[in-house]
Amino acid sequence: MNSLSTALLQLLLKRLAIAVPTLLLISLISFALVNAAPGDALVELRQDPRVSEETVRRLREQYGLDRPLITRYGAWLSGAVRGDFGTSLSERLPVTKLIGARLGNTLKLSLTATFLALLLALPLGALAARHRGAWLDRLTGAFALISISTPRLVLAILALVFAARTGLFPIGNVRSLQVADDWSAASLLDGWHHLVLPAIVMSLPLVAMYLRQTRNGLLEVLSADFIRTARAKGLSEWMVIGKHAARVAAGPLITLFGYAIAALLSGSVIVETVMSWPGIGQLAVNATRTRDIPVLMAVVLLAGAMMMLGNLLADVMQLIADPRLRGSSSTKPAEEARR
Amino acid sequence: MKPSLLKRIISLGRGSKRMGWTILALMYLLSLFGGFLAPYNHRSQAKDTPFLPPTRIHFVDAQGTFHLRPFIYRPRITDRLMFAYEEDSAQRFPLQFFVRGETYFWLGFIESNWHLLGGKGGEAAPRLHLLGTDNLGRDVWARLLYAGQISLVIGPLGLLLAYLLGVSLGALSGYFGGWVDSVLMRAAEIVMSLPTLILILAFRAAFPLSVTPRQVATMMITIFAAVGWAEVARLTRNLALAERVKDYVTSAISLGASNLRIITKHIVPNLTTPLLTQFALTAPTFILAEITLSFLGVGVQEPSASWGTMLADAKELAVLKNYWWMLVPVTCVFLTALAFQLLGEKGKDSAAH
Repeated sequence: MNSLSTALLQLLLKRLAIAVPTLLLISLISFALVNAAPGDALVELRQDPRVSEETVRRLREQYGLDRPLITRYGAWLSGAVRGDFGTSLSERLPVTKLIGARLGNTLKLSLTATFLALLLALPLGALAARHRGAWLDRLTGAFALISISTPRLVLAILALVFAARTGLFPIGNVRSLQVADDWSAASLLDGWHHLVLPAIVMSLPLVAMYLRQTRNGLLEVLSADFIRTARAKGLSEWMVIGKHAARVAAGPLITLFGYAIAALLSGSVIVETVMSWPGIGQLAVNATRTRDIPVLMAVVLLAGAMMMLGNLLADVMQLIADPRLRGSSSTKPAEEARR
Repeated sequence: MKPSLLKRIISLGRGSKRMGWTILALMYLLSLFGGFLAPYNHRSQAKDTPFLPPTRIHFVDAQGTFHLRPFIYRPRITDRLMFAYEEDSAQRFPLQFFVRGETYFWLGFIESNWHLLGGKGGEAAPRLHLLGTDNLGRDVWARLLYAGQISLVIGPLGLLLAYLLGVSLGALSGYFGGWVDSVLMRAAEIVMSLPTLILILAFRAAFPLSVTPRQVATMMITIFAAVGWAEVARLTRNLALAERVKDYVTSAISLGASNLRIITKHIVPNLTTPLLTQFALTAPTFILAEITLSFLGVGVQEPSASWGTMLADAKELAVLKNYWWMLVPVTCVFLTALAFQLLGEKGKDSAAH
C-alpha cells in the first residue's frame, strides 16, 4: 500500500472510532433534553374538549410516552440502529421518509450555493491578489466585508422583499404546483427558477469567506521565494499563479470548504425557514415548534453526522492535496465554520 | 474645507474599530433611552390606524404659509382594505419637545412620563409615528427601541454566563489536567460537534413552548450558556496549559500558594486579553441567535418586542409589498452585525480585506 491509502485508512478508522461514541452520547443527551420539557406533543390534544381523556391516554401508550425515560431511550436506540427513527408526531409519517424527502432539497440548495460561491470567489480572489490595491481589490474587499457581516436572516428577508416587489421570482417551495415533477424542460426550468434566490442568499456569505481566503492565501504565497524563482524563469503570470501559487494556497481553502459543508445545515435552517424551502432546516424548526421529538432527534443526529462527514472530507482532501501531511496522522479538526 | 472633511470621514472609516464602537454605542444608547426617545409605549395600540405610514412632519401648510414650529396633520383612512391614508390638512397640530405622555419605567424601575417629542395638546393631538405603525397600530419606532433592549442584551448576557462557566471549567481543566481534563474536554467536544443553531434548537426543546416574557430571558440566557461554554472552556484550557509551565506559576507554587489562588490570582488575569477578543467575536452569534429564535416563534413572544418578532411580522407578503417601514428592523440587525464585524477586523494591514 502506498502512503496515501495508508494515511487515508488510518484517518477513516480513527474518525469512525470517535464518531460512534460521540453520536451515541449526542443521542443520549439530546434525548434527555427534548424529553425534559413539561408537556408533550399531545398537550394541545389534551386541551381540546372534543378529545376524551381516554383517547389521550391511549395515544400516549401508543407512542410510548407513558414509560420511563431510560426505557424509551432504549426503545428509540434499538430502532435507530436498525434505521427506524420512529413516526413523526405531527405529520404521522415515518421519520426516515420525512427526512429522505427533504434531504434532497437541502443538498440541492447547499451544493448549488457552494458551487456558485466557488465559481465567483476563486477567480475574483485570484484577480484581487494579483492586482493588490487596485479598484477590483478594493471593490471585492468592500463586498466581502458587507456580505460577511450581513446575517443570512437579513439577506433572506431582503430577497423576499425583492421577489415580492418585482415579481421576478417565485416565493417558497421547490416548484410551482401546476408544474409536473418530471424531467421535462418546463419542470427543470421551473425548479431552477425557484432555486435561484435561496441559492444566492445561501451563497453570499460563502463567497465572502472563500474570496478572502483565496486572496489572502495567494498574497502570502506570492511573496515566497519559489514564486520569485518561477517568475525569474520567465514563466507567464498565468502559470505562476495557476500552477505554482494555487497549489500551495489551496490548502486552507480546502479546509474551509470541508467546514463549510459541515456548517451547511446550520445556515440552511434560516434560509429554508424564511424562504419556505422544504428542507431539513425547515423541518428542524417545525419540529421544535410542534415538539415533534422523533423528528428533532433524527435531525440533531443528522446534523452531528454531517458535521463529522464535512470535517472528514476536509481532512481527506487535505491529505490528497498535501503530501507532507501523510507521514504523521494528526490532522486536527476545527470548528470555525460551525456557525 | 470640503476635501479635508471628506478625508476625515474616510479616515474615520479606515479606523474600522472606531466605527464599530461608534455604531454599537449609538445603538445601545438609543435603546437604553428608548422610553424617553419614543413618543409611546411599545405595547400601546392605536387600533384605528394599523399600517399607518410614517407621519410626515411639515413646515409649510396647505396655504403655503411657512411655520417655524413643525407640525403634523391628522391621518384619515381612505382604503380600509389596503390601509391607505391621507392627511387631513384642515387643522395643524404643532410638535413640541419634552412632552408628557404615556408612563414608562426607565431601567425597569424609574417611573417617568417625559418624552422627547410629541404633539402639542397631549391626547387631543394625532399620534406622531416616526416610523409608522404595525398591524395593531403600535408605533414601530417605539417597538424598535424597546426591542433593542432585549435583542442587544439577552445574547451578551447569555454569553457572559457562558464565559463564567467556560472560564472556570477551562481553567480547572488546564490546571489540573488528568481525568478532570479528559472528562471536561470530552464534554466540550460533544457540544461542539453539533452546528450551533441545531444545538440551540435542541436545547430550546427542553423548555415548554409558550413561556412568559420574564421566563423568556432566563430561558434564552440558560440556552446560550449551555451552548457557549464549551468553546470558551477549550480556549481557556489551552491558554491555561501554556501559562501553567511559565516561571511565575512555578514561583507561586514554590511560595506555597494554593491551587485556587494560583488559578484565580495568577493564571486567569493573564488570559483576559485573548478571552475578551473572543468575547467580541462570539457576541454577534448570540445576539443573532436570540433574533433568530424570536423570528422563528420560539423565543421572545408577543406583546414583547424583539427585532426577531418584528421581522416575523414583516415577512408577510402583503407587508413586504406595501408597508416598507415594517422592514426597518433589518437595518438594526445588519448594523449590529456589521459593528461587531468591524471590531473584529484586523486593523494592522489596511490592504487585507
